[in-house]
Amino acid sequence: MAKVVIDGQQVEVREGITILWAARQIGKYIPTFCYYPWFPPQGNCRICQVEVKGIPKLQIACNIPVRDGMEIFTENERVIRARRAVMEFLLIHHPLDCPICDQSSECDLQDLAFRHGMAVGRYREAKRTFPKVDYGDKIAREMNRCIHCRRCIKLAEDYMGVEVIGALERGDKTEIGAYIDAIIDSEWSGNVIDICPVGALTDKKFRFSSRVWDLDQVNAYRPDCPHQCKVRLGIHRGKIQRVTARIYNGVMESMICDDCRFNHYNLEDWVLEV
Amino acid sequence: MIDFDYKNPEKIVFKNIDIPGMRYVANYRKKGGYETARTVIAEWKPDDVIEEVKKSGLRGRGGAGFLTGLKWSFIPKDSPLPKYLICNADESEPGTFKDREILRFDPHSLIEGMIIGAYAIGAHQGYIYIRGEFAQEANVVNDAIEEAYKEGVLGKSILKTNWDFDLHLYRGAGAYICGEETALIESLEGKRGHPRNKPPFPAVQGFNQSPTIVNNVETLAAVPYILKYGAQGYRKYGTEKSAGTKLFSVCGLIKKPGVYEVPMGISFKRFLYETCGGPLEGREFKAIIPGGSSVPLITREMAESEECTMDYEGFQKVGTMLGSGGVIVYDNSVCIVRALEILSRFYAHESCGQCTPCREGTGWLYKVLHRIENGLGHPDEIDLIVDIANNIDGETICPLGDAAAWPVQSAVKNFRSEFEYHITHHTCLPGTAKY
Ligand SMILES: Cc1cc2nc3c(=O)[nH]c(=O)nc-3n(C[C@H](O)[C@H](O)[C@H](O)COP(=O)(O)O)c2cc1C
Ligand code: SF4
Repeated sequence: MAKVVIDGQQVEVREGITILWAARQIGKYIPTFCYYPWFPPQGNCRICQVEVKGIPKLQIACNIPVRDGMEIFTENERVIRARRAVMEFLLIHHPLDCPICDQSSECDLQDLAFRHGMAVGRYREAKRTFPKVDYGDKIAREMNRCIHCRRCIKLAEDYMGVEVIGALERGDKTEIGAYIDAIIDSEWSGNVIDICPVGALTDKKFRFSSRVWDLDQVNAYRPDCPHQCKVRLGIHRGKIQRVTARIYNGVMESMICDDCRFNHYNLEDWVLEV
Repeated sequence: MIDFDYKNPEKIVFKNIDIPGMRYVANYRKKGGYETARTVIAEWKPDDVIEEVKKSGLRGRGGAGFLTGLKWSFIPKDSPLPKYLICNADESEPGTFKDREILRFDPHSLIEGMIIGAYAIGAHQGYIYIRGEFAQEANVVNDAIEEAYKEGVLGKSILKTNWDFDLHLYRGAGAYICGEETALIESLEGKRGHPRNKPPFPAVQGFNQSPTIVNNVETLAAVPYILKYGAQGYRKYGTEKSAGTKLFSVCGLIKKPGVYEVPMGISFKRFLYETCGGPLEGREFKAIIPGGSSVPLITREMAESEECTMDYEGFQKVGTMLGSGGVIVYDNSVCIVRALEILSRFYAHESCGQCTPCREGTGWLYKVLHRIENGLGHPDEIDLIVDIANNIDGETICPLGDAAAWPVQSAVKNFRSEFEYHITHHTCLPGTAKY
């Protein structure tokens, strides 16, 4: 066990867990984008930076293990300034098209912009745009909204077992894509929609059909499914609008197959868990 | 301050540089080459080698200036994994061109240094990661390695001892970021050159997840001398904290640009005026970047001040760093805003695009600087670029972000009036030109 002090609060946590989990244990909120508990930390979004006493640079909470006697600050002035800076960088190229975005209200970027965003933009240049690429009838890719967290790449590599998407180009021209057509060949391709924290990858069948906050979200499963996927139905006016994985605290419970996600919009196919 | 004959620099790392034909192993051995490596492997214990390098005070010449012996001692002794020694020859920093001379004219010094280093850390495999654009240098090094294999200097039971060491040359594809050690390792593994998070450090988990040491060409080329003449012999040059000699590659608007080897601790002003011949006719220095484009820029007054000595501490005192020793000289005909715009363009182009502040910030900086330089800046944008730079500084995965921020911060601090002139007059200062 390690004794650490988080924002003045003494806690005892298991040795070797990260600062992020130590903070979560006592209900402290540290925002994350690229971190996903399913895979090792990538550390590229930089939003989870915290101050550790004795280390001159801010440290990313998702990657640094706690050590006995560590003193951590998660919400002092310096940390908040860094978060605001990261939010500003993420938003300079973002199209801010929340009113027509399917991710709206389920979007990590939107939530954090509310918490740490600036009221005024200082970016006067032209926003970066990417050409539209059609990735078939399942997944809509809106690269302009992408925040480059790379969770979809990790998911494809580590969980679908297909190294088919990756980063192209460098710097602020970086584009996530390339082989995404091949992802559609995977039986699990639709899960990149659920892992995307913003509206860059969305469900093409659900597009513009309903607002998320109008949906009744019901857990269900389909007896015919060979994988017994645990899904969540989004129902509006008695009709299934979309099928997603069950997401608790921003994390999928398990992946669901494309058959469940895209092909069964009949309520009779499902057994509801109410 | 160290006393020194400024007109005739002494040579340690460059001892063979002017001797024709040293790229051939026969000539190198005639001069006593590989004798040190043989003695070390036959008679020394690896720990004693590390101890000797530690005592010599040799610091990494790749930019960070980390103590080489200390770095080597981080290799876990009891690890069952293979260990690797990698030479970082991806010299692509603007203004730095010192390693190239070693690769071109004296590759065997590097190979000998790598043999000793590999023996010290227990590595049987070594790699030289060479910059993609160094086509000619790659050929020279490749020939040197092949010859060394034929001579029994590399391979099984090298130099008639019972030590095996294989050395491979790997050519990069021309990305600056692959000079960063963890990105270099990723690239060597065949992946995209993306820096990794630290911890874990490469000494514990590097190439193929095994303990790895990455060292600069100049660092490794200095090792044979240290083992031959002992730590004390090396410490004859330089100061207490910055031991030995350092290569400085001087470029820009100065009479005698070139690569010079000097002992550390000498006066920077005298070096610029006596060794390098001072400014061009009728001009005077305006600003100097002493350590490759990734360090803060200083004014002429700072560079010529008494306390600015050519060592790690001296440059720190005037608010910059020794870095990799790439001296870039700007004289009074240079528009600083334009110079900075060029640097920012470089960093925006070379950012790997992995982490948020550097990916978005470097491009933003370049765009704003481009507008200011072309007379389209707003008055509040001088503070804006400083603010963007502050927001990148220290918040990224690898130091490329910092390197992009420091020139901006220092240029605005030291030459603010020139930025203001651009904004009010929509043009460069009279008498300065675009290069
Ligand atoms: C963006 C970036 C580029 C770098 N490029 C080089 C390089 O071209 N050559 C080099 O030797 N070190 C380079 N470095 C430094 C290396 O990361 C590393 O510190 C060095 O190779 C360690 O060797 P040393 O201990 O001998 O200095 C670079 C670092 C960064 C952050
Ligand atoms: S600082 Fe820049 S170059 Fe380094 S990892 Fe981040 S994005 Fe890549």
